[in-house]
Amino acid sequence: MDFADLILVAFTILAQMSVGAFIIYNTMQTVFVKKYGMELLKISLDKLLFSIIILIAISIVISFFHLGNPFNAIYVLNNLSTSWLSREILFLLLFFCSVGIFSLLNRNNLVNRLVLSFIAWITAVIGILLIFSMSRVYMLLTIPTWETLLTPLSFFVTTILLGFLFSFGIVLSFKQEIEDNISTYHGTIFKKYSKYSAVIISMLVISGVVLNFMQSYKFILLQKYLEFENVSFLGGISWILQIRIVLAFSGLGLMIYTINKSMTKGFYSSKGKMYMVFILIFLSEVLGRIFFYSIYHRGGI
Amino acid sequence: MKKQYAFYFDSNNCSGCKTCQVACKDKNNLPVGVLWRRIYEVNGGDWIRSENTLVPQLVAYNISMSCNHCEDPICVKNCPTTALYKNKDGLVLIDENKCAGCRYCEWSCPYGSPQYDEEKGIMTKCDFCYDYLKDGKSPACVDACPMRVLDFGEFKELQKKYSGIRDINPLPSSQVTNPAIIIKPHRNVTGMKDIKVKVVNKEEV
Repeated sequence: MDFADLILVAFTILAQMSVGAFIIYNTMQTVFVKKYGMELLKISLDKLLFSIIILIAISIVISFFHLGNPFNAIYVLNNLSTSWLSREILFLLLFFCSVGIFSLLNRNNLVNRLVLSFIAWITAVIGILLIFSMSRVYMLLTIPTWETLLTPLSFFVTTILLGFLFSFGIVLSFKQEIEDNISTYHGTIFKKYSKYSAVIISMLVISGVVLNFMQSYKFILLQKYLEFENVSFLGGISWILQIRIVLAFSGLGLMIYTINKSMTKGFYSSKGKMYMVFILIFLSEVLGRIFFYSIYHRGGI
Repeated sequence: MKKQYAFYFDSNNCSGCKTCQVACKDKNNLPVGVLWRRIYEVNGGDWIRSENTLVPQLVAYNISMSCNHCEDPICVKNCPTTALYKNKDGLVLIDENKCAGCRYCEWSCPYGSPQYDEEKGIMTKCDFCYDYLKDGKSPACVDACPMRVLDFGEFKELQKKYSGIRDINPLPSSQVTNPAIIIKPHRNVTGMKDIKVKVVNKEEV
C-alpha cells in the first residue's frame, strides 16, 4: 500500500458516496416531498444536493493526484471502445454534469416536475453505471484477487451505505427548523422511514464486513494455489479487518441506540451521535477499501 | 498478413549473466529501478519416490524476459489514453506525449513489461530497439548476449527456424495475451510439468 493506493481509496470512497447520496436524495425527494408533501424537507434536500456536487468535485480533483502526468489527462477518454478506465472517467464526468444541470434546473424551477424527475432518475442511472465501470476497472484477468463478483458487490454496498449515512448527516444538520414545524402526521412518517433505514443500514454494514471476509478467503485460497511470495496468509493485513469490524459494529450499535432514542426525544437532539455513527462507519469502510487494495496480487511473472 | 516481430529465447543455454539486461539499460539510458529486460532466476523441485528410495528432482533455469509484444495485448486494450498502441510491425509501443501515468497497464500486463518512470511520471517499456531495426540492426539485447540465446525476427519465420514453446513455468498461460515469443525450455523442464517452481530473485526484477 503506497501513496498512489491511498489516493485511489479516497477517490473511490468519495465517488461512491456521492452516487449513493444522490440515489438517496432522489428517493427522499420521491417519498417525502412528492408522496407525502413534506415541503419543509426541501431546504435540507437542496443543501444535500449542493453537498453532493462538492463531493464529486473533490473526488475528481483527487483523481488527478493519482496521475504521474496530469497534463495528459485530456486523453483519458480516447479508448472508450475497450478500456473500462476510460468508461469510468466518462461516467464520472457525465454524473458530475448531470447532477449540476439537475441542481440548476431544480433551484430555478426552469422545468416542470415530471421533466425534473426524469433527469433525476437518468442521473441516478449514470451514477450506477459509474460504480459498475469502476468495479470493472479492477476486475482484471491478471489480478485474480480482484477478478471476482465480490468487487462490484462491495462497491455497491459502500455506495448505498455511505450514501445513506451522508444524506442522513446533511439532512439532520438542518433539521431543527423541520422538527419545530413538522406536523404529527409527517413526524410519524419520518420516524417510520427512519426505522426502515436503520434496518437497511444494519444489513449493509454487515454485508460489507462479510464481503471483506469472503475476499480474504479467496485471497488465502489463491495464495495457497499461486504460492505468493512475501506474504503469509493475512499475517500483515489482518489488523485492518480487525479494526474495521470494531468500528463497523460500534457504529451500528450506536446507530440503533440513537434511532431508538430519537423516537421519543426527537432527531435534532441526537444529531451529535448520528455524526459519530457516520464517522465510525465511514472509517470502517475506508479500512475495508484499504484491505481491498492490500490484497492486490498480479498474476504472471 | 500483418507483420509481427518476436523474440526467441533459449532457456537451455542461458547462463543468467544479465548482459542482455545491462545492454538494454545502457542503450535506453534507463533510470534506477526500471528494467525493460529482466532475468528471472527460477528454481524448484521435490523429492520423488524411486522404488524404495526418495531422490531429489530439482530444476534451476533462467528466463530472459522483456515485452513480448503480444498479439492480443491487454495493456493496449486497457490503456485509457491510447498511449499504448500496436504498430504496423506488430510492436507494442508507447506514445510518451499521451501517457498520463495512471499505471493501469502495469496492473494489466502479466509479464511486468510496462514500467513506471518516477522522474518522467509516465510508463516506459521495451520498444524492440525500433530505431536499430529501422537501420537494419538487431535489438541491443540480442547482439549483446554472449551465450547467443536470444534471437529476433518475424514471428512466423522464427517458428519455422526454432522449435519451442510459449508456456513455461512460471509464465502465465500464453492464451491470456498471445505473446510473440518462442522459448526453448531448459532440458530438465521437459516432462516435469508438475514440479513447482518459483522466481528466486524477486528483489532484482
